[in-house]
Amino acid sequence: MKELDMSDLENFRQIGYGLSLIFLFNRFLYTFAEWILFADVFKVLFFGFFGIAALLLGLFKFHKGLSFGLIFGGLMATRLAWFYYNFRLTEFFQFLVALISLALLCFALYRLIKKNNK
Amino acid sequence: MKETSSQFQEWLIAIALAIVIPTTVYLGVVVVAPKVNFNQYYKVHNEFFKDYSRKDVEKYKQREKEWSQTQVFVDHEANKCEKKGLMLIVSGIVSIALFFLGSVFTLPVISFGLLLAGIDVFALNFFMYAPCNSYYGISLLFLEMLFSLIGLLIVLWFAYQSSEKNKVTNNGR
Repeated sequence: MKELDMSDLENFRQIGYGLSLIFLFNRFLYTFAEWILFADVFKVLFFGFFGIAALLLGLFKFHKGLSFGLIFGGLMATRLAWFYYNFRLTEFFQFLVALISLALLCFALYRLIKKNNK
Repeated sequence: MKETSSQFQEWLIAIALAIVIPTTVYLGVVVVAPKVNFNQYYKVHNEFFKDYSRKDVEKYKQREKEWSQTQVFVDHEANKCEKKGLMLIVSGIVSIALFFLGSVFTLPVISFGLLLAGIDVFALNFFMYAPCNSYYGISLLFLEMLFSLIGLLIVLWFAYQSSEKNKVTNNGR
């Protein structure tokens, strides 16, 4: 069995941070929204805002486990925004949130490809 | 060869911790919590609804209202809610301790195992659904939110420090 060095092993701690952040971030947002009794469009906006903010920070500001946790935590939070559909306006906001998330990911991918090609 | 086997041991211990800690917490709470005897409850429930068919909707709904006022039902729901409250408090405190320990532990693989165990312990609450009355239910929701916030802040802090350390290392190259 190939021996892993310290930096390889350290990545597992970062994965642990990332998974914990994804779980706790979403759980906190969900319980907060339930406790405050947000409804309909406000719930969508709430999850959309925090999900996209986390996605932005994870893609462009932070590194390693924090970045991993924020990106996937943010994506899952935006997905929570998709659960609540009652009328057309909510569906529009859900679509907007999903579109913004997709645009951010495409931009981050474009920057990564440009950096690799330098 | 010796170092390879110690890494393998580390992995085994990490996985074992992620399995054993949540199991222990769950069983510990089940031992001390009030017993919820589902067999007895459903025996009495079925007896109570013996001559009432779901097809006769109005009559059935009326019977359900009567059932919700029986002592058996009230005690059953109270026991379930108490068990849920106990599980929430215990799992909340234990998971926060695990998140902290996992963040500061020197061995990275064990750290990963402890963080996973923290997630599993917190997730034990999902298995304890109970439709508690409004004030008690809101208090439990608030507690869960509080515990998740504390855990989130702890992990965020250590992940942020690690992220900044990585930024400094990359800029130094």
